[in-house]
Amino acid sequence: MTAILDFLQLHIEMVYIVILSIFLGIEVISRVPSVLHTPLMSGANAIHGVVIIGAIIVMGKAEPDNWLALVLGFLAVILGTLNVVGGFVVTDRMLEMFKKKK
Amino acid sequence: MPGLLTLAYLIGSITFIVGLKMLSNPASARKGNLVAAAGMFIAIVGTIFLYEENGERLHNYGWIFGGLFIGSVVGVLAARKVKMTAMPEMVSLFNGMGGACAMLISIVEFDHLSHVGNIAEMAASVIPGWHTTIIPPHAINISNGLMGGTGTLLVILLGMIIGSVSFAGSIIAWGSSMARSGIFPLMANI
Repeated sequence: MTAILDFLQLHIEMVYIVILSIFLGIEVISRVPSVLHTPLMSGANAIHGVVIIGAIIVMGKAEPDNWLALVLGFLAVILGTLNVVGGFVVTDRMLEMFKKKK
Repeated sequence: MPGLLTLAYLIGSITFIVGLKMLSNPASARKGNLVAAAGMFIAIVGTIFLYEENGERLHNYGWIFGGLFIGSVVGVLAARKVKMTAMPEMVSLFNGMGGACAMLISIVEFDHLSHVGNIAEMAASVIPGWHTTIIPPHAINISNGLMGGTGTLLVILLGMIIGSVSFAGSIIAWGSSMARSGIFPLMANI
């Protein structure tokens, strides 16, 4: 119990951020018209691609002779970029179609 | 100036929230997507040029830009060429790529952590008995000097698990909906 309380005390800002983010998330995606569900999912998926930042940092910090980090980091950068770029382009295409139909 | 990167991340976070909110309204949806994309661009460019740790900038720029270039070209081509009816499969495939990315980052970070600290010791502080049974004594790295190593290890393992689940789930979803449309019958019974 003391351990849990100490943890809370030490990381209270982090805990606040997480809890507020949960409410923000609920608030942002509630009351969405059902036609927009698919683009919203796709857009959220593209944003989820922020892991690319982690991939870039891992890649940039890798020692030039550490081949495991270089190769895996390189792959991670490619896959992350695919997620981000592909996600935004696909979402844009969906919304474009949506506009024409209207 | 490290504050500049923090500002870039702050702007990025705000554009993501505003972009998502705009995406939930038909009139502003397309603009919202662009707003979020612009925020992502700022965050990526900021990381590449401004990130520093202990006063040291990132290196391996060739690899980074190479990866960004390949990913962008393949991503744009795939997203443009895909048929409108196959869009959901494409989204799930892209989602899986993000999961795989997180998984790979965790693997590299795990490798890094095992060079800095003693993985077996960190694990032993959470799981009693891990020390002797799972990792043989000769494989244990003696060097010590971890700062909150157990927490870092837990976060890395969580990243690995969540990334792998995201990757595997998305690939299976992609494969089974391909199978349903008759393109990829191999995965029909998953």
